[in-house]
Amino acid sequence: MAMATTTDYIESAKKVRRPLPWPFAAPKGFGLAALPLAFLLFFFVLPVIILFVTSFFTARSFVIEPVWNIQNYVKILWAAGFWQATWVGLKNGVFTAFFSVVLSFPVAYYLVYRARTNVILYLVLLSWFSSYLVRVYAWRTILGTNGVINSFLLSTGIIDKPLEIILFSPFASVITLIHIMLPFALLILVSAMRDVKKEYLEAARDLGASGPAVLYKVILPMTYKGIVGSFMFSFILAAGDYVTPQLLGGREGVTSGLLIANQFRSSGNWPLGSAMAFVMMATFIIVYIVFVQILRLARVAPGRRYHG
Amino acid sequence: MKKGRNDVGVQKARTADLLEDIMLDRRNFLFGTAAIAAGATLGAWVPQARAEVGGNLEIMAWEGYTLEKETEAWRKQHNMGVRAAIMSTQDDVTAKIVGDNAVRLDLAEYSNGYNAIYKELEVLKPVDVSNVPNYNKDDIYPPFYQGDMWYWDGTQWAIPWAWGLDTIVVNPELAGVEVKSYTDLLKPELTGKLAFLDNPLTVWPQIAKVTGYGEKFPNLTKDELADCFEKLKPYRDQTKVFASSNGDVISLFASGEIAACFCVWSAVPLETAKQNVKTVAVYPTEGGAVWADAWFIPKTSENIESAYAYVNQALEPEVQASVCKTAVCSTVSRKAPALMDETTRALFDYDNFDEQFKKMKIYGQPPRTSEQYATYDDWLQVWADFRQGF
Amino acid sequence: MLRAYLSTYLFFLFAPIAMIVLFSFHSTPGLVFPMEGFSLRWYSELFANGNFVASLWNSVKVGIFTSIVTTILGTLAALALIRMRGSFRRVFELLNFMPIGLPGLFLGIALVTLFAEIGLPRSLVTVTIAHVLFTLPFFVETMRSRITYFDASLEEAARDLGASQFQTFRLVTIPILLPTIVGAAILTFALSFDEFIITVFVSGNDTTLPLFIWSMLRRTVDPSINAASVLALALSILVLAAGGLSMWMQRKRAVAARVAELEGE
Repeated sequence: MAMATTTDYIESAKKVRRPLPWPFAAPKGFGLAALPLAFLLFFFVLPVIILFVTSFFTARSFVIEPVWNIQNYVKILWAAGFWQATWVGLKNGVFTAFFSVVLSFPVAYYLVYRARTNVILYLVLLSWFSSYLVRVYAWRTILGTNGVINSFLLSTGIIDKPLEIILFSPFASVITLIHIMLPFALLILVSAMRDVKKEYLEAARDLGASGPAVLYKVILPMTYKGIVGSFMFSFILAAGDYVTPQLLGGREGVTSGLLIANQFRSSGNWPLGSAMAFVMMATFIIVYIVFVQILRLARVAPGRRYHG
Repeated sequence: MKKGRNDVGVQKARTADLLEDIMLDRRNFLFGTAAIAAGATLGAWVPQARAEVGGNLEIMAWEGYTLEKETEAWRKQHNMGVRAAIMSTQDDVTAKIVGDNAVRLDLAEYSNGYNAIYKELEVLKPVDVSNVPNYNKDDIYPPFYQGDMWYWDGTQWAIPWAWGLDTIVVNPELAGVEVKSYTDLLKPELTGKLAFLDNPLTVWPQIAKVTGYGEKFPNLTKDELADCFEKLKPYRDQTKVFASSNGDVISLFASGEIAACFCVWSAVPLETAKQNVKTVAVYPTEGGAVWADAWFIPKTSENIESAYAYVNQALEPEVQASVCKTAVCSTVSRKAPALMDETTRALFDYDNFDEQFKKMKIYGQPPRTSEQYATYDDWLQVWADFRQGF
Repeated sequence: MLRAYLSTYLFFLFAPIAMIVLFSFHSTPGLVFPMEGFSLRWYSELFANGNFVASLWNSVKVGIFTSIVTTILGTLAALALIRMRGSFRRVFELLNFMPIGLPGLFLGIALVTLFAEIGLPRSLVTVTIAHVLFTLPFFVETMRSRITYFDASLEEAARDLGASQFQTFRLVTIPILLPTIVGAAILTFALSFDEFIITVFVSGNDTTLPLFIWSMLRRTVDPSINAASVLALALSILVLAAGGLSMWMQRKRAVAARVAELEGE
């Protein structure tokens, strides 16, 4: 997510030439940006606006009536089922994102500062190339009552009855989602960490900082955006997913994504589905704000440190 | 993520500036936007243009029901190309044929119950039965000749061509208790070993049946609907998982996760047998339900002549026998059972067809719009709540 | 210690995938251990299935077109971003990131309402548009993390030596950025190839590979889905290898050309 940070601030202070303000001259880079901008405006901004407008209409099984009202939102607000499903999705998202980032961080560190080649990064990205749906089923084979883990635990005598709770639980959804999100999380962390040049770390060491201090005072603040990006990205994809929870989540298998998909495909109530989608997005934004605040409280966010 | 270090940012990557200069020209920019818009509009014509190529048939059907092998020689003879889109749920078909932006499909399938909504949305073309000579009173089993799922207002709207049963399936070894009726699924031995199929079409009629609303289904008032799901709660307490499809149920049985499924495709035992897991289909005392797939010609159909010919082929006894074998279903043609192998014929007691079929019922679906009764939306809502444990 | 951790990480990532590959060669339909022998039957069954081959081909087509369009748009966007300033840059940056900042489901339904609104029929064209939208942010991110290290003095040197702007672009900038572009394009292909949730909404009467695998899963679950996934994996590795090879050849040719030039003088 793009946000104004202190780097912007520093940069703007150093700015050599300042282009004329917007109405008088196209901003620098505009010509190059024209094509992608046109694409994004037409196929992204426009549809989102249409979707938003639609969410204020009504519909009955696939026929939309353009009558302005906020009934959809009122209905959602009072639908306990929707909030329960949203809660399940948010939980999946937060756990998945947390573990994806925490597990990938040391690997990113290794790849950026220790590894000589990018082979391992490519290897990780390679796992992306296997079908997402098939991987979900592979996890069933691993976690099942007669699955790999249970068989192993039984044969070693750690347990004497198969653990039935590991499959068809939020745990199963989360571990599978982590498996799917790891490469994404790692890629974003690596690209953020490449900004923190090795010399900075060495300089910090030379100035007497201990290992943990380098991590806490240099790496974490400087990769802050990458951490937020990596977390939010895994979070959004995991919380919005409805196929994995449906197949592995057992009784906690209904997420708001599934309810939205149902409105679009099964009931044909597109306006209600759109409204649900925007409510879901609002909950995501709340998670984002909370997450950033937590980082700030943990004093990981760059905050004032840059200004010294 | 990264703001360029000053030296990179401000400068002189002239080459890209060159590109920028070219594109900065307003007219060019507008041209770019216009090109995308034009591309979008032109794109609109692409699929239509294809229609003019004679002999191409666009169909949408379930995996395993596209008659690839069965019609190969026939297609060659008529120089016909068939492009099959594969559906995973009936919603896939609905999504294509409904609305102003419908996709061209010459032929598609609907399951019993979808007749009502497709009728209401006016997406069906009437079927002229004279173009489908194989669909006649003598060769087709009575429940599938006309019948209110495919025939109304004196018009044929779809041609049923494959059907089967939905019922309880049990793994006797894991269950450790005999199951003869739906209520047997509530026995304590089965706690945490039951699966529900997450397919409204299959499950809702049975839910109505076990809670005493079988006669009224699909027309229940909202209060009756609430009561129905209230009475269903004990079943939920038994449930381990909601399976997303038949295939899912099979895999759950095969891996020993579940001992029984509330209501599912009756051919599941044949599939689990392939994976060395013995399961049996139990026809409960409450009676089973029939699923039936029918070909229909959507409003967006263009190659109608070929569509008719294709449906007629699908009703050929040899084709019927072959599909019943590969897709493990039952035939609508009286002439087909004689051509079937032992296992396929054993799927249904064709010799006593009328007698056997009497116990079955082909169910419809709750109404899409109604003041009086609970609608499909209402059902979907309580069903989702039920799954979540409300 | 870090190395040991790294191995665990890779194990977690690849053990399930190794299992998928293993079971695709299973001689019986089961997907649970112990295995009962090996065979290629699932592969031959797949290739005998015309619908599978058609959907595989559709996915390849969509993947290639998506890569091409995304590469063009993404390279432009990345080059633009490094020279943009101020609020316009921030807006453009946000716009480039947003499509993956929303769940796939959201993109799918938004696009399907747009297509309905403008009357664009769903076909492989709409699938490609959706995939470009979904992959563009990844492409731009990958490019940008590299482009910042772009040594602009090289371009300057070329200009000082009398190269025209176009020559500089063709002979200096593109060769330097090419590895990153190729890498990002391959990533785009991979993402497009496996996209399921958006595709469900925007596809017309063409089935892509993930849609086909999903429909197979609904009928019965056996190793043929594993075989389908392994084929997809193998195909992707092939694309990867081809990309790597072409890059290596390119570099070799460029070196050879430069040597020849020097000798010519």
